[in-house]
Amino acid sequence: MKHLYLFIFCCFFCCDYASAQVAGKLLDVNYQKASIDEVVTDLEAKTGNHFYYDPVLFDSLKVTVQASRQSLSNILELAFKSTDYHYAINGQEILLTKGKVIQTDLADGFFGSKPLPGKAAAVTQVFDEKEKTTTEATIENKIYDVGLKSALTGKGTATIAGYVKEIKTGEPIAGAILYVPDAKTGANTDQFGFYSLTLPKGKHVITIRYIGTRDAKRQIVLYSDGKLNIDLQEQIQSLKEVKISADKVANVRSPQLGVTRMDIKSIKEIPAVFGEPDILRAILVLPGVQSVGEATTNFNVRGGSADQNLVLLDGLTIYNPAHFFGFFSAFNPDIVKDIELYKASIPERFGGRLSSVLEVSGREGNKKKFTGSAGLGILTSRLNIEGPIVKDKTSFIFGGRTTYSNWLLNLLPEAYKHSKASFYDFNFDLTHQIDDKNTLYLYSYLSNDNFKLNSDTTYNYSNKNIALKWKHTYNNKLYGLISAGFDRYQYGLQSDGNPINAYKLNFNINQSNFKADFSYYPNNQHTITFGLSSTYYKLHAGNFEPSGAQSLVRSNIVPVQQGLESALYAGDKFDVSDDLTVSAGVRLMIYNPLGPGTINNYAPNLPRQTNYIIDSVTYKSNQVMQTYFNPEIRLSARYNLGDNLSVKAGYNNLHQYLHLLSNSTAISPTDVFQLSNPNVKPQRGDQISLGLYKNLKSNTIETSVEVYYKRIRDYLDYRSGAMLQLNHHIETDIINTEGKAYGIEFFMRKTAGKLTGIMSYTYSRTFLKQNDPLVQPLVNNGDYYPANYDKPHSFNFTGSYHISHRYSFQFNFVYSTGRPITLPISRFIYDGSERVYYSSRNAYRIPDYFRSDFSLNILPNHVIAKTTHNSWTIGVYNITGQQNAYSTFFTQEGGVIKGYKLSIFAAPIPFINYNIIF
Amino acid sequence: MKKVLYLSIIGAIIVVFGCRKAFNPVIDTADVNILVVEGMVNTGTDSTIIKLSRTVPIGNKTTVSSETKAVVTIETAQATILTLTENARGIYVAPPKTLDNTKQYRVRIRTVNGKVYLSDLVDAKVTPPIDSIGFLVKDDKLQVYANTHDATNKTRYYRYSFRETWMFNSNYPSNFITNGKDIVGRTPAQAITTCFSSDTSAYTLINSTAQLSQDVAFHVPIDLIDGTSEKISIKYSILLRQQGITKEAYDFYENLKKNTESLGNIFDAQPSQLTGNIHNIADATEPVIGYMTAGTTQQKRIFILKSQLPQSFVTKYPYGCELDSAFNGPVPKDRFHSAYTIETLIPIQNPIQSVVILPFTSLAHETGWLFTDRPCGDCTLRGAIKPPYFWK
Repeated sequence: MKHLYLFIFCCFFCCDYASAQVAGKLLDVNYQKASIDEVVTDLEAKTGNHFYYDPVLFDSLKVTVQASRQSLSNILELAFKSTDYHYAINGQEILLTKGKVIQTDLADGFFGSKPLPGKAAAVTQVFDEKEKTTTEATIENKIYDVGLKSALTGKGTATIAGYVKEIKTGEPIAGAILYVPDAKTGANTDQFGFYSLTLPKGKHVITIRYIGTRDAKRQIVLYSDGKLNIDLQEQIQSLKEVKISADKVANVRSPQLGVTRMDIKSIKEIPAVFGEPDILRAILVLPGVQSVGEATTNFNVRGGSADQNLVLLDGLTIYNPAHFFGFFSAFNPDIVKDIELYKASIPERFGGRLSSVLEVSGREGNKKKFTGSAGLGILTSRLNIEGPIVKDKTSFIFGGRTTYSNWLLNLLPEAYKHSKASFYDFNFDLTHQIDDKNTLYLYSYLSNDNFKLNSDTTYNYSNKNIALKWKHTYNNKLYGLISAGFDRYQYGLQSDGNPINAYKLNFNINQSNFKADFSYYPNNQHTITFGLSSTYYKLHAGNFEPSGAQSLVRSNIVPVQQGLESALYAGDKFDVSDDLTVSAGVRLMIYNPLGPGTINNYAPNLPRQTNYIIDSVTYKSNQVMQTYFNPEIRLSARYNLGDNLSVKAGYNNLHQYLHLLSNSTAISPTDVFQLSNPNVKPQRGDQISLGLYKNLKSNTIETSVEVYYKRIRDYLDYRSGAMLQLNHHIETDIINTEGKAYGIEFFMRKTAGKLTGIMSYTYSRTFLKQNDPLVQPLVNNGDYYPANYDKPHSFNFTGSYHISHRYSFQFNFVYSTGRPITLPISRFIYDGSERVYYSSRNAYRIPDYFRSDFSLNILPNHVIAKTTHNSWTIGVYNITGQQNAYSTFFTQEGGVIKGYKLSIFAAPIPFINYNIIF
Repeated sequence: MKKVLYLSIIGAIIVVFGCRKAFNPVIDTADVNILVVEGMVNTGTDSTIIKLSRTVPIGNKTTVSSETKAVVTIETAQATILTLTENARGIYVAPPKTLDNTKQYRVRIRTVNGKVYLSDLVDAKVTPPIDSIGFLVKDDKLQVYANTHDATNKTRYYRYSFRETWMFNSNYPSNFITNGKDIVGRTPAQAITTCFSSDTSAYTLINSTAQLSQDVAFHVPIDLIDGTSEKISIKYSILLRQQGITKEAYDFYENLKKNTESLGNIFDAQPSQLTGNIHNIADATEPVIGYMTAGTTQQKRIFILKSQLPQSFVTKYPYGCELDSAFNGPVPKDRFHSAYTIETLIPIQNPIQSVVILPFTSLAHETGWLFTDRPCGDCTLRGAIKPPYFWK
């Protein structure tokens, strides 16, 4: 780039005093589609003059001139006729330039010490689609010619497409907004940074906005279909930064409801309990996202249970995104780029879960140079290394994290002192750009948790995931993404304390999936997505086996479960007018439980108990037991009411075939999964939502209000005293339940200025009801009761105050109604001690929750030449030492019932985290 | 099994950062007044005892509300075979009577308000004998366990209860007593230094061997005693009672245990309805708490001596104790600003509730008595002097 500027200024300089001098010599030339090199070589040989030019600027110029006995200037006139190329002759030196360079005045500051790029006059450059060149457009005031220049005469439209990337790392930027004011049209980049815009041919200015980068402009002249890659510069050094969030504009303009994107930068600004940024806790600041307690990373979205969320890490399905029983989320913050949570408008390409999709996107490895970072915390440390394998083509990124929490356990009383806990997780991703049209991606993830209790019970769980994706761009309007992957979650438990009862318990769920997703941009009014996916599940719901020679444990192996979930989908985002956009899609889902297996038939109109089994059907391996066919509808629409004000409405329905069996308040790593089969119906849900969106202060403040109403059917609940583990006929312990959830969510986000952050308030309710007439007794006599995570009032504020570029303060305030609990209402004596009899389910609540946190971020100084940059995070979690009830319980101690309230983080907890970037 | 892990981890975190505080929510004390039936039909050589009571609102001070004046009978499907009489308030007893173990039994209860309750018919289960009771040292605690087996592999589900008895000393031995005039030596009948105390199991103890290939119960945890406990300060005895139960009864007890002994943690199961096998014959929806069982029971007793236990087990007396002095003559004011004189110890109901331990003579040749607070010198506050009949 530097050289280019230099060249331009050289041109100014020369042109200023060079008078056009015509060489007297007459020449004969015959160029047929000759390149500039050929022309120049020929002319230099014939005239002895010397040409100065930048070959790059002329690389797509083809010269066709046939002339005899013409002066050099005449030949150059002919050669550059009807192009923007120009020449200047200064004695023996001939300067070739482009655009209006020759006619312009000196640039401002030219006589100063440093040229200011922003003041550079425009130059043009031709990019010819046929030449297969894709331009790296980095200069704002340069005019980029896109397409075949000869097509300029034609009218109509052409499509420009390409990637938006970060200039330093070459990493694609997802969710950037490209807007063309004169055509009043725009596009967003997808997860690969790809965009496609169809514009009238001619001159346009594209503005590109993305959070954390400089606002950018590109001037183009569109001749025909062509490619333009845009590199954005990270916004770091400007003194008065004005960040324009892509989300904000998207918030008002996109037809989607209940979708929020958070980038890692804002996640890192939320104080976390042990100082390490926690992705799953960060989403709890969003409206409509609840959690049952502090020590769990489970989250409940708009009244759905925790297993109704699909958690994806670059397309890998993470079954248990938590470490250490939920104290830490299993995502390494150093490799995460951003997260996107879909609460209402779930795109057609996703399915299989009722409540939400949480898409965690990892960063791509730096394509230019090797870099890395490391973080040290109180309990965990992490490392990340990335870099090119083949520069600008192939890159990798590696992230690893581990804990040294044993010191914590050593502080415990004797009873736990011999316990040990450890965990780690690794990410390794590769990106390989085969050519302009083909890119390969490899994603892999491994997490593992080990816990040893009092040296006789060991316990571990692990996620293992791998996926390969191939992205192929057919043309500017169509691209496809084909991926295949394998995801596994497993846990094991081993107890050797009592040699006779020593056992091993193993569980695992495996899924192999294949997906093909296509995006088609026929014109600016339509964005069409379509594709298919197929997931094959294999589930070992429990292998209970003896451990050791003395053990008398009988093997108890729950038969393998298999299922195939397939889907075909198509959707269209249709910009009906400037003000109205409709997005409509359909996802046809087919689920087949597969053999081998034996399915019991129960007597009709009698409770489902083993003594009412009439007969049973045995299926052979891979034999289809049943076909559940469920079409799903995804509808949403947006209407602009005014400048930066829009109203949206949406409806969708969803089905879930994979269930987590859990009758505890929070799900735990050893809960068992269950696939739908003829006796276990899929869960069904639908949601209608309505929202009002308004952006203020040039899109720096984003506000929204959304209301929703949701129905859930065949939600799983359990019989009193249900046995969920090692159960060979789970249908006898399941009760199908109906649920309803509704709420109103207020959201405000500010991303510019000294104070940035999120504020949200939600009023929401979630009720469940058991209405199965065959089950007795019904919870609450078959009336609605509040769900465990029904917290009507919830307020969140998380803000960051930037004192300077290096110092910023973060605050966090959380308030919510206490979650419902079932309390004892009367007592009695039985089996030697006092016992309690419980109220109707969830009739009471634990005390309200309130917490405030504070942290200080000290960033490195901005001396670019420094090889390493250090940053510190120092803070206090729960400053007020609020003793929030994590749980309450009534227990008999020495024969007397006592009520207790348990708080986990009951005191202000200081933390410190050290990060180094190299 | 997993519960233990979670509790431990949550426990771990609580110890480091957390806290546990009393929680007494305001509870709407609706009129919940449920019949509670506890007991078994003993087909062996023990009495059949059935206890009837009513639940009391959680906020009430009263703990027990006995159901008196009920008519309780035991019957087979065909005939009434036993009528129980109310021995104490709410406790209905029939003397031992050997019954046919191949039959099914049920209990019929007619309460004083005229309602009739009937249990389901239950199988009589013959309980195998307890093989042994043992103990092992687990960190700083004493774990008492039981071993048993059933060669016919029929029992599978076991319920235990126990009565433990222990000998203990007061912190200071007292060989002197006031007779109202003087301090005199204690007679053997006035001894208050060594006592016996006892307690019953306060937790539901159940065990299942259903997951094992043989009906062998090995090292079933019975009681966990702190190494510092007074129970094992001299000699300890436990009488363990074992009862074979049906799977349904086991499920009931497990539910009972879950509902009151481990709840409230977010990883614990939510409270569930306690359903037994006793119903109001006129209204099946009326909740009744209790599960009737039938069969025989087995008992075994062992003794554990202090000498069998590790030296690291040091008994911690439940109270902080100090000796004080009372002078026979006037208090030497030059050295003691305030002290007691013997007059304080003389009245039989002395105002400071003290127990005389020993006479003393100071270096200055003053004499007097050392004394201590009653809880530190009188074991009868917490036990009985008379050894139980089985003590050896």
